[in-house]
Amino acid sequence: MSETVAQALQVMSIGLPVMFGVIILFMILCKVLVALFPDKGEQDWNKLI
Amino acid sequence: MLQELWIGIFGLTWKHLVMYLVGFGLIYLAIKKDYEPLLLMPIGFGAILSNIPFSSAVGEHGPLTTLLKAGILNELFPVLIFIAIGAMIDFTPLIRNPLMMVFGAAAQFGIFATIVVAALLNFPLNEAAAVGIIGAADGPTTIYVANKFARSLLGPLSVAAYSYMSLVPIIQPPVIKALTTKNERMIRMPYKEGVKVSKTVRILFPIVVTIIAGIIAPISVALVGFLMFGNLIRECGVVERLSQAAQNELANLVTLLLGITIGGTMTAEEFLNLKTIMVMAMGLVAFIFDTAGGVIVAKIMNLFLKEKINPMIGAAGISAFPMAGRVVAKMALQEDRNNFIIMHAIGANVSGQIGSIIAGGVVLAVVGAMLGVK
Repeated sequence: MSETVAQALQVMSIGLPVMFGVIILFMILCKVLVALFPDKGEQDWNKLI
Repeated sequence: MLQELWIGIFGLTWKHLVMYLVGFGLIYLAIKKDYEPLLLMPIGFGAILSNIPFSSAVGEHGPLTTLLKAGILNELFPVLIFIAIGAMIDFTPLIRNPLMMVFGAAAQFGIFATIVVAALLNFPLNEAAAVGIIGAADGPTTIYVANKFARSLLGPLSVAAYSYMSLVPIIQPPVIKALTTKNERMIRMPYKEGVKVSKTVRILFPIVVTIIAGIIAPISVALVGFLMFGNLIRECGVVERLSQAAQNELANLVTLLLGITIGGTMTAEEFLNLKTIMVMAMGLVAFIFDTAGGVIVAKIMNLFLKEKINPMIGAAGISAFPMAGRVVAKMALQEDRNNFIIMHAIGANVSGQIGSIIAGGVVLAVVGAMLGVK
């Protein structure tokens, strides 16, 4: 196996888990944001500030 | 003296004529077939301009060279387009149903698989990474990463990316059908309105995503940050003029200049070689692997879920918006006239926008670290 192929496999073995990890983080972020700031009509943003 | 007057004719070679055909071909596809006309038409014409012998459009002081330095080599044009894209995206369906984000990630599998395939075909790592990023199915991301790692391949990579994005309705269905059964394609997914997303959340989402993504991979801040900035000016509701300008004037102006400048890089010497053909082939491989990755992840998820997902939704996670979502929704209707999965498909498609820039940022960070590129 050439060094470049080994490096490419390394990119995949690091990149895929990192990408999925970040996406899962964003999924959790969505749930947290929606739970923390439920929709109460148009005044909710004004109340926050 | 005569030779000076007719340098254009004496300088013409068969390679220039081939490039005129390439330019004509792209313009034809754009106008007659409606294949990504906003990009392919300017790229096609730029290719013609740059292949006229001794063209004043290119060369040291040519306008296309000036635009190349002003907007492509410094990565300005792609990031400006990200503002426009961000202003056009509504992340509400995604925030409401964040599970769809998994498909936005799964459908980027083609990027990494293609990097490996390109390495197997003896592309050096920097070029393999640039070729793999075609799988992001996102023009600005492709141009941004290509510019960092393989400037000489900018022309063929852009043409490949935009061509295959417009060919999604042809590329995806055979791959989806090969990986799914009829029963799986007929799985219904009733749409539930779900929790309402407040304006506060829609404002905080782009800000927090930028901070998180930026801290994890600082090299991705230009990509993620500008996309999310565009989204913020859309969602905040107090800069409607800027939002409209981003979605219209900015998008149109930068697209126009980007296209013709990319075309201007497609000189015969740079474009007519075996590598270009291999790049085009790799682009197709990337899109196939993307589609397969999304579908397979959906099928794996179905092993654990009570309420099954139609595995075609996984294929909608590709970033070609809204084409991929529409293709999947249409295929579902073809199998079952009453199976409407368009809302889920569009949710997955929107997630592809985030998935593609995160994948782009990850490739920039990992390959950049290996190659010492900042």
